[in-house]
Amino acid sequence: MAAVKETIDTVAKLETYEHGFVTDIEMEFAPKGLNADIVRFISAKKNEPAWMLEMRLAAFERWLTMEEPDWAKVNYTRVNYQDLYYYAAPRKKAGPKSLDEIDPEILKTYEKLGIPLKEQMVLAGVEGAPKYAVDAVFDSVSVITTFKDELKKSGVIFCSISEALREHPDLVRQYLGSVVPVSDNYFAALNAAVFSDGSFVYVPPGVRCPMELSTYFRINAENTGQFERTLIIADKGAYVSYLEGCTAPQRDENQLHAAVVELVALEDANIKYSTVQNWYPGDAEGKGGIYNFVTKRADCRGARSKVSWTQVETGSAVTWKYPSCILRGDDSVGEFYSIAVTNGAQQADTGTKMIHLGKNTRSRIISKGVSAGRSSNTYRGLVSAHAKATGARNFTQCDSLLIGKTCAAHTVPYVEADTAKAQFEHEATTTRLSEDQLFYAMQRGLSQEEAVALLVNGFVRDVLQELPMEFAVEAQKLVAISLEGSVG
Amino acid sequence: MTQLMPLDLFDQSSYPNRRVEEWKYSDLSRALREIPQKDKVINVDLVSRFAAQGFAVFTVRNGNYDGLNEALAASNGRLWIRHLDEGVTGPVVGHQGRAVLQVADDQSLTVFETYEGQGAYAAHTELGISLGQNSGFIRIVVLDEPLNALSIRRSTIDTKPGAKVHQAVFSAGAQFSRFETHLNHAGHGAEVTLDGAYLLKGKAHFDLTTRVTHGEVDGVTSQTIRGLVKDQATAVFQGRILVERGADGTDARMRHQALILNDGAHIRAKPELEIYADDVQCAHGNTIGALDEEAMFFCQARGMDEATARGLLTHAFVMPVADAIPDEVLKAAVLDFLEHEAEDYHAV
Repeated sequence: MAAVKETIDTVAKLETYEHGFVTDIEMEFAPKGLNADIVRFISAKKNEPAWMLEMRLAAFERWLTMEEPDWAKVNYTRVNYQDLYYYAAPRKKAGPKSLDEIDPEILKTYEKLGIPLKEQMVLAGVEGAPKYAVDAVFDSVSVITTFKDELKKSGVIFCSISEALREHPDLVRQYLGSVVPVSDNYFAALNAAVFSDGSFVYVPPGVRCPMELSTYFRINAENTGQFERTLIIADKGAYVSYLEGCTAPQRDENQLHAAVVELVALEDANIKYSTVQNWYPGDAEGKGGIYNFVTKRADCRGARSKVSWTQVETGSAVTWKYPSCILRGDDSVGEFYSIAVTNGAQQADTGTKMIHLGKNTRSRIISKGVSAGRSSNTYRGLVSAHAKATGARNFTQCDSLLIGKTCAAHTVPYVEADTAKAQFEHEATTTRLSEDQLFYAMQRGLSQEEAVALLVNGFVRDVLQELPMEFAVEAQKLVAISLEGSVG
Repeated sequence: MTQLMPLDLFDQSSYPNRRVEEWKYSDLSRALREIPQKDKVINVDLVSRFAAQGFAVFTVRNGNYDGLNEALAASNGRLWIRHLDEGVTGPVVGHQGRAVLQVADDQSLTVFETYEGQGAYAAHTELGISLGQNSGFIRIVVLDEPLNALSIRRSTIDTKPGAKVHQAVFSAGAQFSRFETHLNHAGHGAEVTLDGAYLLKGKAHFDLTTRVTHGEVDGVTSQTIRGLVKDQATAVFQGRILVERGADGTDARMRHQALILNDGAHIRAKPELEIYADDVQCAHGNTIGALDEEAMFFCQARGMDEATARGLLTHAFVMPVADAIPDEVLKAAVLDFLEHEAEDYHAV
C-alpha cells in the first residue's frame, strides 16, 4: 500500500509545478532594457574595480555586434533583450550578520523548496547540522554565505563573485574570462556585460576542500533574466566538489537564464561539478518556462588534472548547453555524465565538447536522453584531438529512450581527429521503452507509472551513480516525477 | 522526389562555405576560388583502368549524359556508366551534367559507375534514380580521379515498397571530392545498404555524405563505412538517418570505422540520428584509431616484414565492404582496385 500512497502523493503534487510559487519580498530593480548605462549601473551598484567595468563595457560592445545563434535544434520565441530587467536585488534591511535579519520570506522560500542539503538547518544555525557550505543566490544577489569561516581555516575561498571582486581582485582578474572569453558566444558576451552575481571558489595548492560546496540558484522576479557567473579555481593538487541545484517559480512569461561557468584545474587538481536543473518547464502546451542558455567550460590547464561534469536536466522549456573540457595538460582527464529528461513541450539541445590538446589525455562521455510527450531531446557533442595529442583516448556512449509516439530524439556527434595516435570510440542507440520489461514489472504488481520510473531509472543508472549521494536521491525522484503522465 | 540543394559550378553565389552546416568540413567556396571555364569539349579519349565483363558500356564525357536512357534500355539490366573528365592546360575547366535513371516495378538493375579523368578540372554531376516496387538495384561506384581534380557527385534515390538497394562507394579521393547520396526510404519491406570505403593519400580530400529518410513503416537500412587516411589527406563522413513521425518498425544501423596511419592526416566524422518515431531500432557506431599494434606484432612474429604486415592489415580493414558486394564481376573489379590502392599503404 505504501507504494500506492506514494504514487497518489506524487500525482497530487504534480497537479501544479511543485516549486511554482512566488516569494513576495521587496525588490530593487534597475530600469528595463539594456544599454551601456545599465552596465555601468550594475558595476557601480556592486562597487566594482574599474577594470571590471571596462571588461563589461567591452563585452557589451562586442555583444551588440553579434547575432543570436540559431543552429541548435530548438524553436522558441526570441527574447526581447530590451524588455528585461538586468538587475534585481532583494533590499537589505541591514547587514545580514545574523540569520534573524534575513527576510523571513526568503527563509520560507527555502522551506518550500524542500532542499535536501539541510539548508534549512544550516541557515537556521542549528547545531550539529551537516556541513555544507551554501552560497544561496536569490535572484541576482548572494544573500548569505555560510561556513565561510570554516573554509577559511583550510584556506578555501568561497564567496559570491561580487565579494571576490572586492576582496580578491587579483585572483578574479587573473582567471575571469580566461576559460570563456567575453567574445566566445552571444550569450557569454551578454553574461560578461551584465552578470550580477555568482559564486567564486579558490582552493589553494594541496588542499582537499573539507566539504561539498553548494549553490542554489533560483529565478524569482517576473521578467528578470538571471546571469550568474561562476568561477572555480583548483590550484595544484587541490580537490573540490561543487553542487549546483536549480528550481524556479511558476511564471507565464519566458525567462532567460544565461549563465557562464568557468573551471580552472591546475596541475594534479580535481574538480567535480554536479548540476541538478529543475526549472519551470512551461505548461503542457509549451507556454512559459525558462530558457536555459548556459556556457560551461573547464580548462584542465595542468598536467594530470581532472574535471568531471555531471548533470541532471529535467526542467526548463528550452535547454541549450554544452559543459566542455579543454584537456590542455598532459595526462589530464575530462568526464561528462548527463541525464536529460524532456516531457511536455520541452526542448533540450545539450552535450559536451572534449578538446584534446595534451598528450595522453582521456575523456569519457556518457549521455542518457529520455524524451516523452511532444518534447525533443538532442545530444550534440564534439570530440577533437589536436595533432600533438598523441595517446588521446575518448569513449562516448549516448543512448536515447523514447516514450510515446510524438516525441523526438536526435544524436549529433562530431569527431575531429588530427593525430594517428589517438583512439576514439563512439556508440549511440535509440529505442523505445521495452514493452516486455514494462509488462514484467507490472505483472509483479507495480503500477504503470512506477514501472516506467523503475525502468527509466535503470536506464540512467550509470549517470546517477556519479552524483554525490544527497543529489542522487533527489535526482532519482526528479526523473520519475518529470515523466509522470507520459504513458497511457 | 528528393530535392538537392541548388548548386551551379558556374554561379559562385551558389557555392556553400563552411558556415553551411552540411558543408562544414568541405568548404567549396574555399576550394574553388574562381569560376571554372565552361568546357565544350566532349571527345575525351581515355582508356579506363577498369574492366567489367558482360556490362553494356555508356561513357559520360565531361558530364555529358546524352543517350543514357537509350543505353539503359539496351543494357539488359547490367550497365557500366563510365565517367571520363579531362582538364586542359591553362584555366580550370568545369563540367556539369544531370541525368535521371528509372527502374520499373519488379525489374532489377546493376550499375557499375566509375569516375576517372586526367588533368585539373572541376566536375559536378547529379544523378536522380527512381526505383519501382519490388525492384532490385545494385550500384557500385569507384571514384578514381586525378589528385588535382575537384569533383562533386550527387545523387538522389527514391525507393518504392519492397525495393532492395545495395550501394557501395569506393574512393581514392581527389583535391576536393564529395559524394552525396540522398535516399528516400519507402519502407514496407524495402531494404537499403549504403556502404563505402575510402583510401586517401597525399593531400586528397574526400567527403562521403549520406542522407536516409525513413518516411514509412518497416524499413531497413544498414551502413558500413571503412576508411584509411595517410599523408596529409582528409576524410569526411557525414551520415544522417532521419526517421519521420509514424515510421515505426524502422531498423537502421550505421557504422563508420577509420584508421589514421600517420600524423598530419585528418578525419572528420558526423554520424547523426534524427528520430521522430518511438517503435524503432536505431544505432550508430564510430571509431577512429591507429593500426592495431598487436595485430602488427602478430604478423611480424610470423615472419612478415613490417611493410607487408602493414599492407596486409590495411587491405584487410577495408575488405568487408568489397566482400559484401552481391555481384561477382563487380566484386572482382573492386578487389583489383583496392589491391592496387592498398599497395601504397605498405610503407607509411
